[in-house]
Order: sequence, then C-alpha cells, then structure tokens
Amino acid sequence: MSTLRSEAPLLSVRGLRTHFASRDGVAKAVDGVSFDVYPGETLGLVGESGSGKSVTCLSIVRLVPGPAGKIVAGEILLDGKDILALSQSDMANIRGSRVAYITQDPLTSLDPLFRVGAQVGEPMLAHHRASRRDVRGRVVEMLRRVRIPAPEIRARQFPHEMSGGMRQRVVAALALGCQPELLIADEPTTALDVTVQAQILRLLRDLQEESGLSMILVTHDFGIVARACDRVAVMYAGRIVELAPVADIFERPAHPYTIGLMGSVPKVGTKLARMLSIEGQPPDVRHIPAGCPFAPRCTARLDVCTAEYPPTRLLGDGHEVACWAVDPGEDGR
Amino acid sequence: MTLAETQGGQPAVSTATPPVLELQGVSRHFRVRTGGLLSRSHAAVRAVDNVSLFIAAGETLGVVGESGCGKTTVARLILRDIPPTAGRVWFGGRALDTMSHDERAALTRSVGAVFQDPFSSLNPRHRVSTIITEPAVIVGKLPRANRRAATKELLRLVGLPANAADLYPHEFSGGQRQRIAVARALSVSPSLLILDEPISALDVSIRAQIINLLKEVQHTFNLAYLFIAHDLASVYHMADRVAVMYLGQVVETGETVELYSRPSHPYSRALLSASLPINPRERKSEIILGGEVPSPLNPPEGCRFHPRCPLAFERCRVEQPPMTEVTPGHASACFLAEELHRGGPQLSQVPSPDVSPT
Repeated sequence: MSTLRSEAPLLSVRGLRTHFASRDGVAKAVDGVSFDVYPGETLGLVGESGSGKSVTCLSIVRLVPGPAGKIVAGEILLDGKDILALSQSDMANIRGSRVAYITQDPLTSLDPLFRVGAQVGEPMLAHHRASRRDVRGRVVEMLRRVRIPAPEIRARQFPHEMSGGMRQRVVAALALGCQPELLIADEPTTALDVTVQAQILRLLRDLQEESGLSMILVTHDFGIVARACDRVAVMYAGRIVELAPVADIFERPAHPYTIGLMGSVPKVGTKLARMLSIEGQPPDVRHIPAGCPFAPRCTARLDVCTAEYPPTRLLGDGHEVACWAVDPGEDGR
Repeated sequence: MTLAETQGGQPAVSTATPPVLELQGVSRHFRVRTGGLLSRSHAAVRAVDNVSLFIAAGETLGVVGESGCGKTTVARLILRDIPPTAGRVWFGGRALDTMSHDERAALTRSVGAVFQDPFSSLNPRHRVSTIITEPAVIVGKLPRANRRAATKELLRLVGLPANAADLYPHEFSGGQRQRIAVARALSVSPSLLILDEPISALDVSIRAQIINLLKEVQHTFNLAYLFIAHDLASVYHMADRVAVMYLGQVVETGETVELYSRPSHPYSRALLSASLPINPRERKSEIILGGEVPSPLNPPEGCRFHPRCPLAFERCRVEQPPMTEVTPGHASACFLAEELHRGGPQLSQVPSPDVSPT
C-alpha cells in the first residue's frame, strides 16, 4: 500500500477550523485539520468523544449546527473545487448525490411514518437519478445490493418492522442510491451487536470494491480501524496528531497519544496485571492549553511542548505525526 | 472445580469454601401480550432459560453475549430485583428461597452493583458524599455520624480527591462518575459486585483506568465479580472464567485463557472473531455470521443457534445439545464441541446460512 499516489485526491481538507460560540468562550472543536481522501480508499478518523471527528465530518457536508457553530477558516476541496465557496443550493445538490452521510443511529435517521422504499427512493428523485416511473425498480435493486432478503416485500415495510442491522442496511441503500463518490459514515456500527457489526463492515467494503467509492469512517474503536480502513487519522482536541497507513499505526505508532490509546486497548494473548492507561482526561475544547494539548497527559513531554504546537513531521511513506518528541530520523522511534 | 450436572438440595460445586454465588438451572420468563391492545393471549419471553453459573470468592466471572442474550436479566435475578421463574440461587452455600425474608434481605444487601451509564445511575440532586454512603446507611451498616469519615475513605479507595465529597455528579467526567459508582458499590462492604457493562460508555483512554481500579479494589477486599460485557477484549483481562450466552442460555463456559484460545462453540468462535482486535493484514480470516439474534419470544427449536450456524446439521434442528465438558472446567453446548475444541472445521471457510431476520 504505497501512499506515493499519482492520482489526485477526491477530497482535500486544508487547515479546517470549526468553532462554536458558547457562554464560557469559544469551543475550538476543530482547530486546524488537514487531510486527503483518495478515490476508492477508506480513511478512518479515530478519537475520543470531543476530539472533533464528528464536527470535521459535519463541516465537509456544511451541516455544522449554526448559529453557534461556524467554519472560521480552511478549504474543503472536492475534486479540486472549494465547496465552502458554494451557494447553499449548489451545496444541497452535492449533499446526498456526490457526498453521502450516514450517522450512528439507524433508528433516528429513518422517518417512522414512511415506508422504507419511499425513503430510499426520495434522494434518487430529488437528484433526478430516477424518474417516478422507474424509482420503484431502482429502490428494490438498491435494497438487493445491500443484501436485504426479499427486497420487494421489505420496500413496503416501515422502519419499526425491521431489526437494527436491517435498518442500517436500509440507511446504506439510501445513502448509496445516487452513487456518491464519497461516503461519510459516522460510527455506523456503534449501535449494533458485534456479529451484525461485522456484517455491515463487510458489506461496506464489498460495496466499495464494486463501485470505487471513497469513504471516511469515524470510529473510536481500533478493532473497526483494523477491519475496515486503509489509512487512519488519529484526532485529539480538534487536531490530527497522527496520520498513517493502517498497518503502520498498528505496528509503529509514533505519537505518545496513539501509543497510549493502542496500549489501553486490551490485547488478547498477554494477560497483564495492570493495563496501560493514559492518566488524566482530554481537555475541555473551550480551554485548550497552550502548546500541544496532549502535553499535560504525556509521558514524553519536553519543555517546548507546553509552549508551542509541534509541526507535522513526515516519518516516511505517508506517515505523519505532530509531536516534538518524535525523532523523524529513526523512522518513528 | 468441576461443573457437574446436579439436582436437588445441594449446591453443584462442592469445595471447601462454598462459592459466593451459584445459579442452578435458573430460568426467568416474562409474560407479554401477543395480540392487540385488548387481546388476552399471552406468550412467555424466555429471557433466561436454565442457566447454571457459579462464582468463587475473589474470582471474576465474565458474562458475554449480544443484546437480548439475557446478561442483564441474570444480573437482576442475582440482585433480587426479580425472582426466578424456576431454579435456585445460592448465596454462600445457602439457597435464597429457603431463607426468611430478613435473612435474604441481609444477604442480598452484601451485593454491590455498578451500571453502564454513569450519567443516569447517579442522582443529580445529591452530593457525592450522600450518594456514596446512602446504601450503607440504609442497610444499617453505617451510623449517620460516621458518614464523613466513611466518605473520605471511600473516595481515597477509588482515587478521587477528598474535596469531591461536596460536589454534585454533573461536576465530574464520565470516568470520575464511574469511580463514584464504584465507591457507592463498595460502601456496603460487599462480597460480590455485579458490574453491568461498567466501561462500555467510557472513552477508550479512560476504560483502562477503571479496569485497573476494579482490579485493585478486588484484590484489596477479595471481592467476587460478575462482569457483564460485550467487549471481549476487556473481559479477557478482567475475568478468571467466562460464560458465553446466546438467547437466554449459556452456550459455553470455561477458564478465560482456555476458552479464548480454544473456543468450542461456533457462536463463541464467531463472537471472538468479530470483536477481538485483529491484525489489519489478516482481515480475510474473519467469521461473518448471517442473520441476527432471533426473538426470545419465539426461539428456534433444537439448538437456538442453529439457524445462524455454519455447521448446523439435521440433529441441531430437533434436539438441544447438552453442555458437554471438553476439558475439565470447559464445557460447550454443541454436538461438535469435541471436534471444535481440537481445532475443528475452519468457520471462516464455511459459508454462513443466509437467514432473513424478521
């Protein structure tokens, strides 16, 4: 998996800052995030709650809840065009057709009052991908593609008649109905049981292989990263602290936060008396400390860490890390 | 210790010291209305069906399974939140149903509990000092006058600063709240703690802190734990023994390391394959089951797992496989248990049946 890519990225996020106004000051939910997503790949966005992964995704589809939330800086280039410069109606044409978004909870993303077939067909009609006459056939075809058994019958059912896994398949059919180039999936399997989660992850991967779709997969679970992602960006306090091909993150994590996070995921095979843990807790995004926000919890802390945010260093082959303590000469450690 | 099949008036496990807790063939059925609003037809949801378990002093039993498998109902049965429909629960070698009401109350009060959601399990209107000492005051183990001293000691045990006593739950993070919940559970000097998904709602970097805390206090007080979780990796670290549940029944039980290295039930294998951290280079060897967990209202005939099992054959559809010991202390309810224990068929090579869940 070489990251020396000849092709242009499908999505390029540059210096994105999304802030929220609150009574206790400005919450810098996303504070200088840059990454690319290439055609056909899955980029994982990993981090804990409040690290800014969901807000990053909402910014890409320009659905940051206003008026408190606002994209204050940066560029989001889709095929080289800055979508932050688009009008609301041009943006609405992109949303659901070129960029699709699925959220964590399959129950709340479907309307309980409408049959699932009508909901899967709606974006196809709205974006003129199907006519009234052939939409029914397209819906059934989509439901079949997400491996829903008896799709003709299922299309006439309501969401409450389906299990959680089935509903998440319906949501996938809805999102992929207009053949988007980019799918943003925000914790798509968190609400599901593990054996069903494995089915959905396999399904997303199969669909991706069939159609060359690019995907941003938000998760807090390194098990999912290992199963589904090609590259992974680790977020902490609104920034990407490390970005690397997935095998590198597992074999050579470089940032002390990534190392701590990987260490606090229990491993089977070695039973430890004490698990490694990161002491303390993530900072409040309204009061991010100066310098590196991880410094107060970091065991490799240097004097410079509390004074200045570290520059991004390249460790080779697409492995980037923002840490003063990492020596780039030694390939990561 | 062996897991012998027993009936009658004796606990199944006979060792010098009786286990802290034992469940013998315990079932719990819930009646639900099946027809319309005015219908009189009822059906039984067999939430827990003929479950036998034991936990020795100072030991952790992990209970794993997916939603609807009966894990939480087991916890409620032990806490006497609900009585069993059938079977017996033993505490310290004595059957609960043979005790007087007062005796039973005294015993079950020596069980503490920590729940999944640290936000809804603490009363937002009470200060931490009240929250963590209230159970001990109510059961008469703590005179009101000693509350301050007890609060201080409990906070120290769970690694919270002494000034936490006068604060309210909303002033704490999720991990700190879970520490408060642990302090509250410890206040009654329990011999057994029920831990119902105590780390699932916490951030990854905080989970290890709580696991370490639970291990420390277990060691200090020789506590027995019933650790309910769906995250099999944390169970590996916490539990001495594991029981895997599916649709209200225990399908496999054994010592943790043994069970994880030689899972002898197809469901355990699939569950381990789907939830354990994997090497990103070895994605293709995963077992992907078809279908979803069926409704406990109408569980499948024969082995409850057979509609989703890649290895199911004719017998599985009609006959329920008994728990069979594959090695001392490790038992599985599968006709192919022995073969699976020896390494058996590679499930990732066998296609799963295509089940359409309803």
